[in-house]
Amino acid sequence: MNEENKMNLCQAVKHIAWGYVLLHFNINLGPLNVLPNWAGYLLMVGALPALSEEESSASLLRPLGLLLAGWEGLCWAMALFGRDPNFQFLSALVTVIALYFHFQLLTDLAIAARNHQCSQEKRILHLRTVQTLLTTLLALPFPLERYEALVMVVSLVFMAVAVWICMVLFSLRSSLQESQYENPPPAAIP
Amino acid sequence: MNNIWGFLLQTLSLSLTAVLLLAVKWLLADKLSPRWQYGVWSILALRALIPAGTARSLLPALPLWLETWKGMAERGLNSAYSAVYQPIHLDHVFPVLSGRPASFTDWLLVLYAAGVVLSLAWYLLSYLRLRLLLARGTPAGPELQEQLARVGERYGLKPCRTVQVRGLPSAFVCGVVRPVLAVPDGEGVDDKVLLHELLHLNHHDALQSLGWAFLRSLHWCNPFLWYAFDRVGNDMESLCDQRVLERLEGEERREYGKILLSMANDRYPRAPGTTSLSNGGKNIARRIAAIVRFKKYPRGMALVSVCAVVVLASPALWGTAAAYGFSDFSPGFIRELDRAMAMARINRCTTLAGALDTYAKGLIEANGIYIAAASPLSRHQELEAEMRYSVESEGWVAYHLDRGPWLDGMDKNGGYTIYDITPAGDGRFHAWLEFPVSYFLAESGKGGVKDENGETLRGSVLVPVYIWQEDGWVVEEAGERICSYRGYGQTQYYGDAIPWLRELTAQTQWGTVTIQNRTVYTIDNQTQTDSFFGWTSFSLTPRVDAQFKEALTWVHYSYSCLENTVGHQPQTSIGIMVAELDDPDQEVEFPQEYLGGYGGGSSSDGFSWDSLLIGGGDQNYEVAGGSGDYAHDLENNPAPLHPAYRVRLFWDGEMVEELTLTEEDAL
Repeated sequence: MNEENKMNLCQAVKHIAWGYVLLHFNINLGPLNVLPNWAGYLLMVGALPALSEEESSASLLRPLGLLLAGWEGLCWAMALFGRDPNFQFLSALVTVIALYFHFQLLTDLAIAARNHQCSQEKRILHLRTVQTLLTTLLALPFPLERYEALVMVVSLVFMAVAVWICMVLFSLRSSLQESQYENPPPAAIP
Repeated sequence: MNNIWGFLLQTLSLSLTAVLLLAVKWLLADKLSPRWQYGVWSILALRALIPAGTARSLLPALPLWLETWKGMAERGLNSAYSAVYQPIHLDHVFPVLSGRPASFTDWLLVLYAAGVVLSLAWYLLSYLRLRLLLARGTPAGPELQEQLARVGERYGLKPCRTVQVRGLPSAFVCGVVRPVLAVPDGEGVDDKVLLHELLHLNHHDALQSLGWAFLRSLHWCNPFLWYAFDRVGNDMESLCDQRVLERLEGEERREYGKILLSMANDRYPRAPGTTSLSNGGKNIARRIAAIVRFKKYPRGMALVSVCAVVVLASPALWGTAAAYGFSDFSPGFIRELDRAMAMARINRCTTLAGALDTYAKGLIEANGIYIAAASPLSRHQELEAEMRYSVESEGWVAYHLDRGPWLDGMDKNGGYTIYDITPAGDGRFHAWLEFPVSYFLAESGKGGVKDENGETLRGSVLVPVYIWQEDGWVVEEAGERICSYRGYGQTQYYGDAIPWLRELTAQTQWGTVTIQNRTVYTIDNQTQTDSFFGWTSFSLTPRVDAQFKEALTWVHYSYSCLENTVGHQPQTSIGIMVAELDDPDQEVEFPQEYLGGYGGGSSSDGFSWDSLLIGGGDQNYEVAGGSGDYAHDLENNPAPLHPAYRVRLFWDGEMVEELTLTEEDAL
């Protein structure tokens, strides 16, 4: 990998990390969410070409990322006009696509971390697994809202995972940057 | 399914599931392996075998549309298999004819059932013809036997009886119990073709093919599902290709693709319980595309593959309940009444609290749809007729239903209160609903009832109701309504308007002790009306699945010493202290409160007390008080009452007696 590619990878990881910030955190001014999720997905989609230099399967995520950005854009616009996007059928479809998208994206990031001997690989994989299981659990037909304590616990775990993912990705970016200056690029990519 | 509407609901629900699965499979075609692509069809199989419901669906609007159409279509038909006021219901997914058909829709069910039988018969016939063809074949020669044994041994697969049949276009496995591998006679068979068929055999694909054919027969008149089942068959072949490729290496894989391509124009067996390498040009093109992707599927996808199936299965099998709003319950025009009544038939109350909430709001809003949603289905025809009459003859909005006696002066924003839910036998409960009214309409129909000073009387109206479960929780009024001229909410503290829920009394030598209970139930009906200031108001939209937020058990106790038998009266004060018991024999330690003065109190551990000074001109020999405790998480049960109370009586600050009142002391 040449220096330019490595710089691109650093930029891509930064964009993905900011994408997760936009996805997981919302600041609402009335009905306007100033940290829109669709922007998060667009940042992630923009980062995919550089990531696919590391792991080719990342390029497969582009249509899914655009679809998720479109869906989130629709929800965001509807919320602006005070409408509730109540499309159960499409929600099921989008949940599965989002589940796959994040699983694959985090897997590819872990592969990138491993390729550059960054210590974040294991943490990314663990967070990926926890996030996938949590999303699946929340999709089960269980009346969670009736158990306030459980809602609190699940929300806290979700929030912790969200914060952790962002932190790990920012630290991965720092590690990649450091390795860019400290280590010469490997002679060949296995 | 007992009528054509049940079949329509089932086949459309299944079609929706197929649409969802096809969409997800299309999006993930190059991302998840053929193992997942076929495995995810298990959701379709389960959906096909689980009867669809009207309360929940992958597309919640679907049952409402069907129920509305059913109501409109059946009104003039007098069908034998379906009724206007019985919602679509499926006990199972097989057609059952329950008598002689009497209408067009009944005949449609007969036609459908006949189609299922004919379709199954056709499958059986084609299977028997194939078996007859194989019976004319010759057993595999030693060369083929040896080749089969070699392939089986190399890949760890168990072969089966093999026959050679002249004129066969390609090899296939036929049969489930005693499977037969049929190969073309006089032509050499490639090892890879045998491997493909042996893999089918070892994974019981013929049995699965039989199952899919059965489901295809149940939905013989749904062309979209035929397409979906074709895709299922193709995915089964793709999975088998995948298994073959996993066992082959290098050049062998390419040769396998070439074999598949060479079969694109071949005929192939279509009988159930049969699997074949060849399955038509279009399908083979799809399988070749999957083979091209064989090495490109991202690795390590097991977890997300399983989770994706779970996430898809949840809405497809369990469905989502429709979120009906005010407009669904409140049709303005008569043309909207059919849909609203259909909604009331399928949107049944799922909890006891939900039924009371829906019925009470029906009375508050004079809304017949609310009332219908919380009433037995046997009342729906009468309710709909009343609503039609009120709109056609009196010019009301379509949902209007007269509230009945005493409720014309309803204060709509005052809400309602639920009192004294108690078992009434046969699985029913009795309860009282209290509504605030600003006037009681006089019998003349003009103006409100007035007191002796000419002031309009206000107060509350108490409606006795029975609640029970049949097709959901339902409510029916249980007798005459009672007017109370006390303020709204005062019923909790008095037993004059409606009887106490329970009254325990004991006569001792020191006087008479009485303990009375009332239970008051709360449903959280506050809705936020202003997001900025956080203002809330009473929500008038019924909640069919409401839960009790809490229930207050009110204890009213009194002690009268006037008619004692000790021969004298107290000099300065009387007092009473009450302890709630969970068991009549329970030991309790009373708090050290001095009950020789004036006042009362209670403690959080279930003690309450009151005392009264005696003296002056106004001699009063009765002391009374009250306290309450809250119960939560009641679900569909009445709030429990304490089985007993321990009571201490005080004269002039000194305890004179301790006694226990149990349910045996109930009046």
